[in-house]
Amino acid sequence: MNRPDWPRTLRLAALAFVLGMAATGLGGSNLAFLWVAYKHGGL
Amino acid sequence: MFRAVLGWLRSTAAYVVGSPITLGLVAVAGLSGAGAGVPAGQKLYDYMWRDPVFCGDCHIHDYANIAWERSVHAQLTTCHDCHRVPIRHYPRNLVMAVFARPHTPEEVPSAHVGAVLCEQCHAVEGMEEELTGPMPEELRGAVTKIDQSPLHRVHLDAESRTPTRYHGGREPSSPPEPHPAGGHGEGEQHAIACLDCHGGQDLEVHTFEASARDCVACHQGITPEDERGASLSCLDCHGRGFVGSQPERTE
Repeated sequence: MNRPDWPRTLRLAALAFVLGMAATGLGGSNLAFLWVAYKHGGL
Repeated sequence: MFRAVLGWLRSTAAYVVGSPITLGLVAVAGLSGAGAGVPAGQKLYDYMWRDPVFCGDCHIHDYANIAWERSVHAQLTTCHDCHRVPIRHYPRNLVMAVFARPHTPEEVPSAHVGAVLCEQCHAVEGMEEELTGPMPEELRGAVTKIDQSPLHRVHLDAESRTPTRYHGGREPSSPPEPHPAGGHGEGEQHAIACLDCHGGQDLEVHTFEASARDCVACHQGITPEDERGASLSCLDCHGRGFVGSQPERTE
C-alpha cells in the first residue's frame, strides 16, 4: 500500500469537493430544470 | 495542452486508486461537496423554473411584465405556468441574450398560449389535464371554474366567431381576427379562444379582466342604455351569466 502524499491528497480532496458542489449546484439544477421544462413544453 | 491534461488525469487516477486513504478522502470530499451544492442548486432551479426575472432577462416587454404584476395572476402563477415552450427555446435564448440581446419588445417573438393552459386551472374539463407547470395542485383545485357558467358555455361552444344578428353580429362582415396568442390545445376546435376576451392585444396583454370593450368587438351596435338614456356596461346585466363556481373536490 502506498503512503499518501498528503499535500497532493488534500488538493485532490478540495478539488473533489468543488467538483461535487458544481455537479449538484450547476449540473443537477440545470438537468432538473431541463427535465421539467421538457415535460411541460416538449423538445 | 490536451495531452498535458490527459497525462495529469492518468497519473492522478493511478495515484488515487493506488492509495486507499486518498481514494476514501476524495470520495468523502466529493460527496460532501455534492451535498453542499444542493441548497445552491435548489435556488438556481427555483430561479429558472419559478422566478419571472429569469424570463425577463430576455423578454424585455415591460408593458407585459407590469401588466402581469398588476393582474390577479401575479404571486399565484409564474411565466412557465401559462407559457409552454419547448426546451430548445432556452439554449437559443441564452445565445440570444449573450450575443444578440433584444432592445425593444418588437424584437421578442410573440408567445403562444394555448387555451388548454387556461382550462387547466379555470375549467372543470381541464382538471383532467396533467399539471406540468410549477403551480401546485392544491392551488389549481382552489381556482374558480368558469366552464359551467351559462355565458362562458355559450362562447366555448360557439361554432362561429360571428354572433347572431340579434346579438349584434354583422354578417356577412367578418368578425375580428382570432387573438394571435390565443391558440388552442391540440385537437381542440373552439371558435372563440379565452384570450379573445381575456388577453388583450399588444399593449393590453396580461390584462385578464374582460370589459365591455371586449364584448363590442363582436357584439356591435347594441351598446345598452338604461331607461333614462344613461349608458350601461354589458357586464352590468350580463356579468352574472359569466360567474364561475367552485367545484366539489372529487378525490
